[in-house]
Amino acid sequence: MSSDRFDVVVAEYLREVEQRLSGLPVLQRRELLGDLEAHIANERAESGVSSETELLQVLERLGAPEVVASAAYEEAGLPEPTMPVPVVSVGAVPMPDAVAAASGGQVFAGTVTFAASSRFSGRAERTAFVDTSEVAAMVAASDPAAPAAPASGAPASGAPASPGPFSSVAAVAAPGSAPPAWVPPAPTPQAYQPPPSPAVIPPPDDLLRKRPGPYPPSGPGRASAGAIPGSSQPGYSSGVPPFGQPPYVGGPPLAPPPARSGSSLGWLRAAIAGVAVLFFLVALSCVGGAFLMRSGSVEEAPAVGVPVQTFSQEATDEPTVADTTDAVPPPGVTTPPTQPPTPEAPTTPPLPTATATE
Amino acid sequence: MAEVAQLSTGLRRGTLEFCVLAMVEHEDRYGTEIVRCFGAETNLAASEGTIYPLLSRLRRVGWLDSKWSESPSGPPRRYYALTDSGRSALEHFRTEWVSFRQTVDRLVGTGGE
Repeated sequence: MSSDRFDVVVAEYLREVEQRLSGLPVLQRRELLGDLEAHIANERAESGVSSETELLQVLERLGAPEVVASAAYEEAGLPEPTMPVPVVSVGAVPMPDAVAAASGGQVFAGTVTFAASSRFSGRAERTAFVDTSEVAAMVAASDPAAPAAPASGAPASGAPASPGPFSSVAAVAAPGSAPPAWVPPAPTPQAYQPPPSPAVIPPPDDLLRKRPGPYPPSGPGRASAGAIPGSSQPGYSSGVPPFGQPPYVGGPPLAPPPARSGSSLGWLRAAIAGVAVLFFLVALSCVGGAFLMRSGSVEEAPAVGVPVQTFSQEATDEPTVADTTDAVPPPGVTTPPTQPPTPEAPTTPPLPTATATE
Repeated sequence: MAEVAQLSTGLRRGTLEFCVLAMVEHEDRYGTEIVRCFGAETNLAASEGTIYPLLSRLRRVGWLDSKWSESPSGPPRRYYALTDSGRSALEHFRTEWVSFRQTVDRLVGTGGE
């Protein structure tokens, strides 16, 4: 066996270990894989592995991948993740015709290989003897379209896999027949339907009515507002997948109003409002007065004479213009303007002289 | 039979790591060498591959130190050496193990008296 074949076997073993170490930190995983690889290389170099059997013995002593992985998780203090259940495929080995004829198909023994388990896990190949006629009958019973099981050693190839008690059976062999090849189902032609564009997808009603923002998706009122027509589920919170279609984004939510700084400036605002109202009233009164004056509904005020005070004795004795105009005429009667009398020249008293006083 | 295997696992847990420390107490050993020694002792390790995660943990906690060295035949080897903290832990285990073993022997009746 060539060294390349050994490398393939070793790489397969290490790959299976790595698949089971996915829950470990990457450094620990790489370290363990490096140690295992170095161990295998040392064993090959020092023990002189010359056949695949010896190499498999080395790997067997090293341990099954799940055992090594379990120890790694235990040492790391991490829970071991659950591996998915592998699909069991059943192959078949053709039976010689002579044996098939001798058995008559009644107790035909086929070889069932459980290829899902690892070849390094100690469960590599398991054989079981099954009665193919019984299997074919059960397959036929589960699938009415399948041909009936032959009563004798007739080949039963072509029995399709079907759900039921043998849902994991991929093929059932019959004596003298080659293992049936898996034929993929023919694709049904369908017209191409482009995926709906987000622009043509109408937004949910609740988003149109309740702006802003679609979040939180499970907010109050969503259960009834997000109902999908034709669905028995009323809304998102009732089992309808929330992301079955591209979400409608109505825009960012509005920013909350700024917090009030307090009521300390309330009096200032009230004063400003009062001044504004007062200014408005004054302006309104001015405009109204100007309008009334221009319309002429307001009469001019009567002329008022300014009394002239004189320091002479005669002027004080005579009646002044203010005395004559004390009688205000009644409204609607126009009186000619009176010319105020020219006041006489005031008489100045004689200035005392110094000689007189002396 | 499952109970017997579980008993072996339980007894192995907590003691195997100090066996590893004792193995590299006087000289440095590389991984394959340690694994071979444990492979000869059928009661200690279930499989050789389970020793490497243990070596990794002992190195992470600081009881072992490792260094890569070229091999005269084959790929490079990772040699493990005992650190001071590992030596202290090994001495502490030896003290505890003697009293523990005596107690168990006396209670279980395996003391030979």
